[in-house]
Amino acid sequence: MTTSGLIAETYRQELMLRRGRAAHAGTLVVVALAVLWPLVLSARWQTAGVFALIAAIAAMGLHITTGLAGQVSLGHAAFVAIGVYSAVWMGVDRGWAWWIWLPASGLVAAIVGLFVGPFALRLRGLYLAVVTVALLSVTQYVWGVWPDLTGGFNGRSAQRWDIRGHSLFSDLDVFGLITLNGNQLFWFVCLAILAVIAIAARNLQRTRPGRGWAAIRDRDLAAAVAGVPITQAKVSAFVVGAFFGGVAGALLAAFQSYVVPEQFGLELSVRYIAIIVIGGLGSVAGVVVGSFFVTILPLIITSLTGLLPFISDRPSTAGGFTVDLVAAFVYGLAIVVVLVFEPRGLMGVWERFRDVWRTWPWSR
Amino acid sequence: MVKLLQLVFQGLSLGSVYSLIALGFVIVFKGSGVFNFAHGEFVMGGAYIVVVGSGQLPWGVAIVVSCAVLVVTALVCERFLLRPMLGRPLFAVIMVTLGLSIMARAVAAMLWGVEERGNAAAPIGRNVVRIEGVALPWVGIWTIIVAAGVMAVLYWFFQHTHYGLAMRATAVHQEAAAAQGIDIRRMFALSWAIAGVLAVAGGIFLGAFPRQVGPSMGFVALAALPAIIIGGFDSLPGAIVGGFAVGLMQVVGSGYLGDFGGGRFHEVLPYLVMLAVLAVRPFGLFGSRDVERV
Repeated sequence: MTTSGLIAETYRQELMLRRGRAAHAGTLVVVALAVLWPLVLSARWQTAGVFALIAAIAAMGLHITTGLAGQVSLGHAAFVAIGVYSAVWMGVDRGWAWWIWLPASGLVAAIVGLFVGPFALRLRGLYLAVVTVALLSVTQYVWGVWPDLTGGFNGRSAQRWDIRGHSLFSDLDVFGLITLNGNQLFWFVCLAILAVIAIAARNLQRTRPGRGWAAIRDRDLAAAVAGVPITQAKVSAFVVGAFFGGVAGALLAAFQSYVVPEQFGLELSVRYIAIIVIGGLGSVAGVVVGSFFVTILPLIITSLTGLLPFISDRPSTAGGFTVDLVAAFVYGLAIVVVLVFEPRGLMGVWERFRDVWRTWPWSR
Repeated sequence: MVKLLQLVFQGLSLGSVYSLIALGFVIVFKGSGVFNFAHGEFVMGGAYIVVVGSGQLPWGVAIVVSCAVLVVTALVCERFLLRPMLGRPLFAVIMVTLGLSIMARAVAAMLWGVEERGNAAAPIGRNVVRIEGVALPWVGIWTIIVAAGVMAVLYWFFQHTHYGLAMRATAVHQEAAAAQGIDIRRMFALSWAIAGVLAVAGGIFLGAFPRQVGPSMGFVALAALPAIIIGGFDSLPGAIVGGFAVGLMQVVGSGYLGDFGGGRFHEVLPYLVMLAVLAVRPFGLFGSRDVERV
């Protein structure tokens, strides 16, 4: 007997992350794409891909805080920045190894999240959103007046990522079969970290903490009545979200190799929100899809300059249809269009297509 | 003493700009239930149109043109983007306005570039009146006069006209207002139109000497956020009080706290005061407390 994959028939199937033959085939396709991306595409796309992976890790944190627990945070960039500067301090100023600064930056961000979380207990909706803006501007201020840590306005070099004496930026010969360059190495390392974090997020989502978060998102008072420990759940949503953001910050610093405080402002926060909204709120896969969409959008617009001659690929201070501005416009438009016409985001489009396809011929 | 008076005057003039901007946020929020994060970009757009327009047109005409463009833009956004979002979660609505603000910044940069474009209130000039050693720039005096005038007109409108009464009724209870024969959609549109005009007024003086009209104005307008929170999201007097409070804190703070906290402490001071206010009153000084139902 073949299973459709639509209905779980045994408890073992209930526990599986993906089930059904088609889902496993889909997993294989995704894995194949993930392996081929850095090997096939050019350096620009490799770089963009790594940035997309890091953005996905950061957005996975916001996915927990906002997508699952419904606590609107416009301050996620602050957690990422805290991760960045923790990693820079530990990696450069202290000279500690990567296996210390990588998890520890997440922990530092999580500790800050622990202090922000309680605000969510008393405030909701807009008031909470503005409090998270306050977090953002306070951290921005701290970076500005602490030039020993951040290099001030000019920024500073970030930590190097050496694994057993081998810098991740230099070429690596893998068993004499293939030589991987820096971008490719970063891609595979970030991919592995994203995979761990995505599976963790998925498992959190479908077990007790995730159900508590979903209940709070829908109505926190009703959740409390139903026995969800509100305090613990709201604070943990911020702590876990901040942890993922901090880890992403450490990776971002290592990959950029130079960081300026200015880049961690409200625009970055909005970018993370855009990622989870465009991908599809509440979906782990949507976070990854959204990150890639938002990150490679400028590259897509650039490659369209041949077809659309009015778009200029040269930046200019006088404005006009430059690639950056057109990309920014399309990105804003994508947010609006998704929310007005397809609130479930790109994953919603995919699920609608998938449901038609796998229940065929009964779907029509 | 002279220094304090000087700073208080400048704080009041900056505060009246923040009050105008905060009123725009609050009127839209009360009137149509949308918290419009793109209002900062409306302010920026209004200022740009005045500056660019006054190159070819008389300044007064440029202001009228700017108001017209802003009102039409606000109405289009309301009708086609935000009305379909009625009844959707607050977060989704906020995101639409954030998306709008990204688009608006991109369009502004396409049209007008990224360089600063000068003074939006150029005809007022840079002259200064001196009273007992306190220098009062005319721009500051005009800012306070115009803001007070706009607030007086708004007070009269909301308290003494049919439309004002209808808007207040809509803000209190939409269904009950509709049952009284009030066209709620028209009230939504009206609140956005008023916000458009307020954005132009705020934009002109936010882009007035010594500040300039530039692409970062949209973010400067976000400094009005703590003003709104301190006053309470759904209170017009709260927006005005909050606006003046933030203006005074920033200017007086920059005058006296120069040696403290790296010399930029006044930038975060409003946010810290906002957090303190929220710790005591989670709905702001004048906001109304939510009634919770399961």
